[in-house]
Amino acid sequence: MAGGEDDVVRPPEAPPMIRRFRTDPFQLVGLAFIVGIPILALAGVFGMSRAEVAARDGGLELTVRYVDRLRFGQTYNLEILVTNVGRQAFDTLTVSIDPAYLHGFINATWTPSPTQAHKVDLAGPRPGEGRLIVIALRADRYGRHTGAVAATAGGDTARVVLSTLVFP
Amino acid sequence: METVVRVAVLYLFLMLALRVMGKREFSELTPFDLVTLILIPDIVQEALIREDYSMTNALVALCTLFTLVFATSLLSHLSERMENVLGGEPTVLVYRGRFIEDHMNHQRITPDEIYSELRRVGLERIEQVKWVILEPDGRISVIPVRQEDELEQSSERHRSTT
Repeated sequence: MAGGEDDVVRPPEAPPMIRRFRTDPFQLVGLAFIVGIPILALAGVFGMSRAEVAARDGGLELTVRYVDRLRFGQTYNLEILVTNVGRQAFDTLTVSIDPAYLHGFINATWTPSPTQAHKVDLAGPRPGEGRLIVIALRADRYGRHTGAVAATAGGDTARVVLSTLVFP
Repeated sequence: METVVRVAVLYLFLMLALRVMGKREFSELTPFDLVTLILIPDIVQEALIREDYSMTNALVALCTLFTLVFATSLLSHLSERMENVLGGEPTVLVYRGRFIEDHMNHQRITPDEIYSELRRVGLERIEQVKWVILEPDGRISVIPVRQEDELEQSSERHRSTT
């Protein structure tokens, strides 16, 4: 209050009360939901979650690094690594992705470029060598998208199944 | 998720900034205030959601905002101290017909504005007023002098002279 007038210049105060938190069960359920969402978000439930799956058949090893959970509109790189773990060189290597999986995404950009729809043919890796295929994807349909990635070379076929959940 | 932190930071910043701006800005919007309030959402939108226009992100942002609003309201209700910190205290601008200039300068309120409030409640002169109080929500309350107050005042003056 202004210079020395504190005691005088103070409007009558409201009487005190015992302050408590009171709510009804219906409101409590709503509050739990509202407070729960940011807590789950902080815990990473709605964020992008990376996963890795691998399979081996004969001298062919297939490792796929992908995202098993992301939000609508987010982009990620699907990485497919095929390694020759055998003793013989392969002539050609074919890597294909199930169209059902790609259906949930748009702007699929392949590196190297696909030779056919959802498929890429590469020179077969020599023993100990690997081939990396990267596909940039942007989530366009919410829901779960499942499909297989297969690598075929020299009569061996390694296959893994991917499953990605896109939040709306 | 990053959105929770972004909403929380901007909420706290905006709350602090609006608190610092003063009570008056909440009540009567000048053209400048209006432009400021219109621009704020545009400025913070990018910072809040960046390029993530998913429903999930919007839901997380809204729930974070509602949680902060609820937490602020609960804190303010449970603690009188927090209530004063978050909402502010009433400020006396006029007491018994006298301007409290220090408070008026602090709140950037002129005598003309106070007279305008007096006329709104049908009073002409400052002597007719016991209290003029700037409430925490920015409104101005005018409490006129009642007859009993005048009698009490004159008897006090009489006592002090004898």
